[in-house]
Amino acid sequence: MLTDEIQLRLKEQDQIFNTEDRGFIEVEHERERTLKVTQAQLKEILPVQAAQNIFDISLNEFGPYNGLDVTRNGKNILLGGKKGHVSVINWKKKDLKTEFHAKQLIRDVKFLQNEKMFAVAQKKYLHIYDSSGIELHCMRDHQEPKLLDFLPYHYLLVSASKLGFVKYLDVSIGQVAAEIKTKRGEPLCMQQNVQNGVICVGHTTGEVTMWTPNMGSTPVVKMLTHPSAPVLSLATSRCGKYMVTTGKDSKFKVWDIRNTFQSVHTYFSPVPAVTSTFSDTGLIGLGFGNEVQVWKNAFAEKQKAPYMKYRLPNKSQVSKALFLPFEDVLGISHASGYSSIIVPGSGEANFDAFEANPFETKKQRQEAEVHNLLQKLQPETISLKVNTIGMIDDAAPDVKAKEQRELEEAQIEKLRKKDRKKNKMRGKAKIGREMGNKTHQVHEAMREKNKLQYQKEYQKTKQEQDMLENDMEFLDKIEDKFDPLESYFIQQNKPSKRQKF
Amino acid sequence: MGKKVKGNTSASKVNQDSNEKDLHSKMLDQIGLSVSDSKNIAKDSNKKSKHSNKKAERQQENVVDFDQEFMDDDEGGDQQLTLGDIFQSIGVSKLSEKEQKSKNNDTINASKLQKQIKELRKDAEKNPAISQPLTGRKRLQIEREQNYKQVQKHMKKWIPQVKENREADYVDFTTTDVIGEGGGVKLNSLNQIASNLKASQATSKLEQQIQQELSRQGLQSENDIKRKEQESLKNVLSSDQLEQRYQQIAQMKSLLFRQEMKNRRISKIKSKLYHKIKKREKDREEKKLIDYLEQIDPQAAQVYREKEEQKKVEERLKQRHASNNKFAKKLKRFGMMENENIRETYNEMMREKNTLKQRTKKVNPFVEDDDSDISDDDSGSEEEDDINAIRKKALKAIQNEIDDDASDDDEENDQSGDDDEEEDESEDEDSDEIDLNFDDQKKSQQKQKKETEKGILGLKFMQRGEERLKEQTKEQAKMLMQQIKEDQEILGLSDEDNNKNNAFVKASNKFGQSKLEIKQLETHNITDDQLKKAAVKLAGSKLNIDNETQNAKNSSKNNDDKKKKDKKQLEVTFDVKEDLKNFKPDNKKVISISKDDQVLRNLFIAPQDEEQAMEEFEKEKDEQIEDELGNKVKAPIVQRGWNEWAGDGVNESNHEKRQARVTEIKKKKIEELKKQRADSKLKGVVLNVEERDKKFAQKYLVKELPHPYKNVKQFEALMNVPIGKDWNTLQSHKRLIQPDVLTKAGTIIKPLKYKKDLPIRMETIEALVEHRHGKREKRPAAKF
Repeated sequence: MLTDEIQLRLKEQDQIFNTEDRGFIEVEHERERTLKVTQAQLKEILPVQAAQNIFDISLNEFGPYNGLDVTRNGKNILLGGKKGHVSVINWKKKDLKTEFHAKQLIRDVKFLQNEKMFAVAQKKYLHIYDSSGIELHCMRDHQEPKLLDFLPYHYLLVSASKLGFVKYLDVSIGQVAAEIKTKRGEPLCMQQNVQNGVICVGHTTGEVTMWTPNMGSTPVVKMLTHPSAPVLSLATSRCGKYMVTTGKDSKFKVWDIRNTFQSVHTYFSPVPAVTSTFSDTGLIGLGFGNEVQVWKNAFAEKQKAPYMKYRLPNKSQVSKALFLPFEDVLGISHASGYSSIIVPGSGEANFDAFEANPFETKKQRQEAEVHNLLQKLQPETISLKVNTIGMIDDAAPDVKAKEQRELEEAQIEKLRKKDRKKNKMRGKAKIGREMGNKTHQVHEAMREKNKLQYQKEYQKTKQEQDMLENDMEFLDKIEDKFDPLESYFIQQNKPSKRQKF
Repeated sequence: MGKKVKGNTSASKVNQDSNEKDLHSKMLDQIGLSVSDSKNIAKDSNKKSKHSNKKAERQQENVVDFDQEFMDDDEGGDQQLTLGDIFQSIGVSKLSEKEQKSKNNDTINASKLQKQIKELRKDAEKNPAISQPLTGRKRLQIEREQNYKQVQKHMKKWIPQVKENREADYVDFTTTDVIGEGGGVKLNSLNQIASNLKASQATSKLEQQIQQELSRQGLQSENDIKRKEQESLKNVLSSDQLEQRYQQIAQMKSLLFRQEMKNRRISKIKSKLYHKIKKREKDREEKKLIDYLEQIDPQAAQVYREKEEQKKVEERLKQRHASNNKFAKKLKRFGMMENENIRETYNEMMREKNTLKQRTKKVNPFVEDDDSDISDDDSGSEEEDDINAIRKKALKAIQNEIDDDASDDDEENDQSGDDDEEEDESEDEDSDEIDLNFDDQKKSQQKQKKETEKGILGLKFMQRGEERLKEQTKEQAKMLMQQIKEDQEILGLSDEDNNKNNAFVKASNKFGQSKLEIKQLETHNITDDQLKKAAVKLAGSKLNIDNETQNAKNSSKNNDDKKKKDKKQLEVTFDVKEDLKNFKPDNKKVISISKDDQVLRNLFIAPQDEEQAMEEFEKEKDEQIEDELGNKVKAPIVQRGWNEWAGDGVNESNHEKRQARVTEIKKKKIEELKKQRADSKLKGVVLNVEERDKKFAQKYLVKELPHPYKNVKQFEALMNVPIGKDWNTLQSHKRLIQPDVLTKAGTIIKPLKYKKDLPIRMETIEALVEHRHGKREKRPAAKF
């Protein structure tokens, strides 16, 4: 869509404004491998501040921590243990913001627009909490939610339930924007395409379906990613071009989801990967067993070995991995807590403070929230063809005409429905109403009676006035120095004199 | 003669009828009758005109006769009037000249007459008799047309200017030619206006006089005056004096300023309490005065006091608080006043209330009004405390009085005062002060009483009566006190866990103690909170990189133990952790899930399985697409018996053939459409991109190419250009967001000025005018 000139300009801008570099681990020799670099080695090399980002939180009691989410500015992480433990942590300062126990099974957690609110998919319903752990809402129409996602530009909280529903909840107005029946049973994984807001859902049939709130229960795209094996996890890249899926068939595939919807490369993992994640810079993180792999440049050309590898120290199973934005950090939640490791080059080095500000102050956060709310996109804008907004509709004229007709008819129908009101006669004989009617009648009669009188008076006065005007006009013509006011007073005074006599 | 002609024309203005009758009157006019006369004659002439209709000649003769009669009446120049005049005035009448001449011959001076006739003709040609103006509607129409033309002509000259303004990107009303120099007219302050008024502009006599006087003294301008002032100051004052003077001025200024601030503050304060205090002060002063008066002239004081009392009583009677309360209202509303007992009670209540009010009024200025007044003052716990304090004071005062009454001696009074002081000691300092003040007041009151007793109330029966009254009031006061005490107790119980102790003093003591206790508790709370937080942090998160979790746990446990030892209350709040430990989610389900996982992980998937799955998927996709397209593709419906021959010997196979053909066509069409689909060549993918996203299209796509664009590319290219601030230079951004009309705040915009030399072709104007004309719709022709 962008012209060459604009692209050139953007490049220039990039050079001017985005001055920070992304630092990957570089090899000096062919036979050197980045894979062999361990966290312990990194910790020694790295500056103290960065080295502090390698840490573990052991939470043995309420694991496995299925729910893991991070705010858009990467400041806070949200942990949700399967056995009910929920906590918000400012991971950089190692500051525990909130912690509570939901006393229920927890399937997923998700931050909403900022760290001040988050949603928790609990055993029965979807709950929304605030930053201090107070339950704000309990969404009973989201039954048995399993997976959660949040579209920040649309303020839509998307929940996929165990029963196969996908629901869009508009968080700003608290209404359900759309409800979709996937008709494919329990979904296994769900993620949005950040570029266009399309929701990708992985199913047990090995299919990945893409949904928008407009199209009802027909997926925009349906693709068989892992034939005869359930899709365990999927992740989309920030640029919206690539998708990674992992299946029970121990494969993970990189897909082009722009035009072809075909797999670019297929990789094998020793065991089926449970989780996958894309970093802002295009690194792919995979988790299986107690191991996490990071693949670099996996979609451009087929790689032979991962970029980095990390084994969890206490042999606990990985449940979710997530690259944290604006930091070279991969957060891993596992059966017994959370650990964060450093993956050089995984973080976006240049941030746009209007989008997501890692150094956000309170005031800025509040301001940004208002701005975002004002700039909220409607759910209808979600489409695969986002770039066509504002362009000319290329459909056939008869199709357009038909749609127009339908729209008008629908509007008319709506109006009709509004007009129709049941004329119920209930309560007509209430004493109050009857009394009211009677008094009304009396008043009406009075009014009628007075009306005649008023009319007479009015006519009389009008006649007088007309006479007066007529006279004045006449006098005006005859006498130059005629003063209408004087004559009026004279006229007025006349009857009073008579009365005296 | 000339006069006559004029008369002719003026008369013709008045009478403008065309029939003979009017002609007649015209003739009369020509003769020179006044209007009033003519009216008189008109009647006659009317009569005559009836006859004249029949015979014209005769009529004329008549007229001549008529004329002659009047001619005799007229004094001067009668001879000069001729028949010619008359006929001329008729003007258009077709009386032949011959006739005229023949008749003229009868009269004198034929040649003269001829001349006259000629002149008259000329005149008539020049000023023909003015025809009657058109009737209303027609006239209005013509007027409108003319008006329109004129307006059009006038408006034409503005066209170029308006056109220019309309075509401009923005109209600037901030330039000097629009708002004038110096930034336009501004609303000036008074000073500015004053300074603008020059001496030369002095208008009134006084001003002029002053001006003259000033100019005589050599003070023509403001500067002169200043200079002179300075000189005079220099002459008079030395530098020290000047300094002193400045200091004085500064002092004065500061004093003034302070006074102003004070005034401001005072004017701000309008609270009830303030007024009450003021009132109290006023009362005190009054009392002093009265006391003084009593010393000088006791009788006058008594009279004064009685007057005051009367006033109060009157006021009380007017107020009738009790008759307005809810209970009284209800009584009245439901007609319970008829019941004698109830009325009795009601009256009693009223009486009681009055007396009580009197008592309380005497006792304490704070309780003058009803309780509602106090509660109205402010809200908040502080206020409540105040009320409590006031109540206490009132109670004490009453008790004091009771005690006083019980013992007439001074000693006991002192004792009670001592008691009071003891009580006060136990209370807060603030209330202490107020109470002491209060005691002082009381003492002064008692002194007063004694003084009065010496005077008029010294008589025995009066004393007895007073005693009786005192006893009554005492009982009432006791009752009241008890009630208030009870109230206090309830309040105390609800506020804090106080013991049920009737002694007021003790209760207050306890109150203080409990407060202290609470403070202690609070401090405990804080420390424990901190401990707990630390513990939770340590135990729950274990954020440290090195695993020192065990130690942390131990410490947390220790803390827990400590907590238990500390207090039970704290435990209630901090039990969450234990709750968490006790809680167990459905263990069975968790296990089943994990088992499932393992099973699936061990699953081996063969490539054949994959192929099979893929095939199935493709099959499904085909079916789905065909289903969808089948609904879209239109094909003729083949039904048995329609478009076919029926009866014996008809070949059945024809029908089947037709059917097959139709289905084939349909299939072909579907195939074609399928190939057109985006996902036709993609294996394992179903794209519903082709299907129309109605909601999206209706809202976010442009339906048709907008007017000025010639093709889609052009439009889309323009739409692709970003117009945001981030993508444009500052200059172009400013241009983009510039308002259409630029104005300056607070300035008056002058109306549009006519500019002569604006280039615009006349053709365009003409075209415009033509266009306007063309735009006006012509009235459609009437149809029959």
